[in-house]
Amino acid sequence: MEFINQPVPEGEEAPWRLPSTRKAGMICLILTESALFSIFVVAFVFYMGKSLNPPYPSQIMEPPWLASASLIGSSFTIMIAEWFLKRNRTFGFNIWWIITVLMGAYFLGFTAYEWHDLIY
Amino acid sequence: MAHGPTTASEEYIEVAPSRPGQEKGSFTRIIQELVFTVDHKKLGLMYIGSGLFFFVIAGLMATLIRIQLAIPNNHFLEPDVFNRFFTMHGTAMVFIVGMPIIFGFANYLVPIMIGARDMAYPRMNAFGFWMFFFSGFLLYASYFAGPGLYNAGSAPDVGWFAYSPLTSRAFSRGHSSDYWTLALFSGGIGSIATAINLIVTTVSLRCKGMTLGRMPLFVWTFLVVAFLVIIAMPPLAACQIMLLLDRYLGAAFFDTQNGGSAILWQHFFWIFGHPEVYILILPGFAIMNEIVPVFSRKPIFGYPIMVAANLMIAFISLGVWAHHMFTVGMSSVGNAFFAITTMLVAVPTGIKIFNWLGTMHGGKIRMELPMLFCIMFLFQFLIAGLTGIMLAVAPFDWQLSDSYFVVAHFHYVLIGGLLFTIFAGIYYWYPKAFGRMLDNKLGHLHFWLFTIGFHVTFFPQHISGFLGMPRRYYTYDAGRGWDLWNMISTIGVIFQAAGIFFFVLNLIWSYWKGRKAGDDPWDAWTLEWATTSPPPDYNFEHLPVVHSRRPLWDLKHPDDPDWKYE
Ligand SMILES: [Cu+2]
Repeated sequence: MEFINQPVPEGEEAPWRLPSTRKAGMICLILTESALFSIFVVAFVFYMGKSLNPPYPSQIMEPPWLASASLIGSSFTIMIAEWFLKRNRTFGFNIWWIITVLMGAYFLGFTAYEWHDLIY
Repeated sequence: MAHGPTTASEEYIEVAPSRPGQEKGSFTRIIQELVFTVDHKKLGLMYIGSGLFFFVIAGLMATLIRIQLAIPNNHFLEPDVFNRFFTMHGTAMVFIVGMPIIFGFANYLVPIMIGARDMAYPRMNAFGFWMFFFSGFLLYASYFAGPGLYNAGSAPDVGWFAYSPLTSRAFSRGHSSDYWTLALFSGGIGSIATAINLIVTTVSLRCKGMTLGRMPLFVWTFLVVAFLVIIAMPPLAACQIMLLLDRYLGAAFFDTQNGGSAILWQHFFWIFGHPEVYILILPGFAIMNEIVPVFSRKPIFGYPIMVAANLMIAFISLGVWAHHMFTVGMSSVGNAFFAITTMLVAVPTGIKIFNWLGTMHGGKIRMELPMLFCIMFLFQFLIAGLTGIMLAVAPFDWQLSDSYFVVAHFHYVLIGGLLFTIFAGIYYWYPKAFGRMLDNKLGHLHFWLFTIGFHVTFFPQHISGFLGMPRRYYTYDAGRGWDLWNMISTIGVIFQAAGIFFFVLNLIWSYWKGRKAGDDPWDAWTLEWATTSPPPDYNFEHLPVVHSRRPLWDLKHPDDPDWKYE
C-alpha cells in the first residue's frame, strides 16, 4: 500500500508542524517532578507544628534564606545566560553561566552542611 | 504493499564480519540483540514476553492460595507462606505483569499507528524496560535475600498496599518490606520514563495529516494513560522514600507511636492506587476501540465522545481515592464526596459501553477470536462496574470492605476487563508481530476453558463475600456457609490453568507452524496494517500521509474515502 498516489482532499497542503520533542519532554518531566514534590509538601504541611517532643524544628534549624534564594535565583541566571548564548555573545554567556554554577554549588554545599549539622 | 525483501539491517549483518557466537540466529547473537536493542517493536515484545513470564509465576501463587482455601481448616500452606503468596501475587500482577504488558502494547503499536519510525527517545525506552525487568527480579529476590543481615523475614507479607504499621521495623523484620519498596520504586522510575516517552512520541512524531482528531482511539487512550502515569506514579515514589526514611533514618511519617499517622499512608498510597487501576483498565478500552470496529465492519460509533470519556475518566479518577478507605471513619462529608465522585465514573464508562454496542449494532460482526474476547469483556466489565457502584455506597462498603466481594469485584475488573482484552489484543496483533496467525482451534480451547474457569472461580466469591468471608484469611472453620463457594472457586482454577496452558502452547506452536498472515489479515484500517508483518526496523519505507481516521480504508476505497464525510 502506498500513500503517495492516493487522491487527496483539498486544503490539505498546509505545512505539517508539531511541537518539538524537547519542549514536550521537558513539560512532562516538570509535571512528574511537581507530582512527586506535591506529596512531600502535603506531608510537610500535614506535620507542621505536630512534633511530640523537643527538639522542635525551630530550635535546631534556621530558614536557609540565602541558599533558597540562590537555588531559585539560579533558574533566572541560567535563562539570562541562554539569552546571551542564542545571540552568540559568549562573554555574557560565560559570566552568567559561571554565576549560575556558583549559585548551584553554594546551594549544594549548604545542603550538605545542613544535613551534617543536623545529624552530628 | 511496502516492499523491499531485504531490509537495510539484514544487508548490514551479511557483510559484517562474524566472530564465533556472532552468526545470525545463534543464541548469543539473539541475546546480544535483545540486550542492545532500542527498537520499539523489540522492546514492546520483550515487555509483553517478560510480563507473561511473571504472569505465570504469580498465577501459580494464586493457584496455591486457592488450594489452601479449597476446604476449611486446611494446612496445605504454612500461614506465613500464605501471607507472602497473596502479597507477592497482588504486587506482581499489578506492577510486573499488568504494567509491562500494557506498556508492551503501547510501545509496539503507538509509533506504528501514528506513522512514526520509533519512539521519541529510543534509548530512554530501553532504559524503561530494563528498569522494569530489574524491578521484577528484585521483587522475587526477596525470597532469597529478604532475611538479610538480620536473618529474619523472607518475601514481603504486608499485602500489596502495605498498610502502616505493618511495614514498620517492629512488625516487618528483616528486609522483606525493603525489597517491596525498592522494587516498586525502581519499577516506577521505568514506568515514568516510558510514559514521558509515549506522550512526547504522540505529541511530536505524528505523520503528516495525523491530527489529534484523526488519531486512532488506541493512541488517544494511551496518551491519557501516560498522563495518568506521570501524575500518579511519582506520589508512589514519594511514599516509598518516606517509608524508607521511617525505617532507616528515624523519621515518623507513618509511625503512630511517634506522632505519625498510619492513615496518611493510606491516603498517599491510594492517591496513587486508584489512578493505577485506571492506568490498567484504560488500555483494555484502547484495545476494544480498535478491535470492535474492525470486526463489526463499521467505524467506531461516537469518536469524539469516546475521547471526551477518556479524559473524564482520567480527571475523575484523580478525586476518588478515599473510596478505598470508607472503613477508616472519615467525616460524613468526606464519605459523601468520595461516594459521589466514584459513582460519577460510571457516566463516562457507561458512555463507552454504549458506544461499543452502538458500533456493533447493525454491523456485520465477524466472530473471530479477538472479537470473542472483546464481547466477553463487555459482559464481565459490566458486572465489575456494577459491583463497583455498589461498593461506592459508603454504608454498603462498611459491610463488605475487605471481604471476598471486593476480591471478586477487582478480579472482574482486572481479569474480566483487562486480561480478556489483552488476550484479544494478542490474537489480533500477533499476526502483525510474527507474520503468522495464532491457531484457531487452540485459541477456542483457550477462550472457552479460560472464560468458564474465570467465572467459576470468581463468581462464587461475590457470594462468600456476602456471607462475610474476609479476604486474606489463612483458613476458616467449617459450617459458616463458605465451604461450597470456596470449593467451586478452587475448581475453577483448573479450567483457567488449562486455558493458559493452551494459550502458551498456541503462542509457541504458531510461531513456527501458524498459517502465514500476510500484511493485513483482518482487513483493518489503521496504519500498522499498511506495513509488512513483521514490520521492518524502520516501520515504513515512506512515511504515510493520512487524511481521515481510517487511512487504510481511504487507500482501499479511493472512490469513497472517509475524508469526504469527516
Ligand atoms: Cu479505587
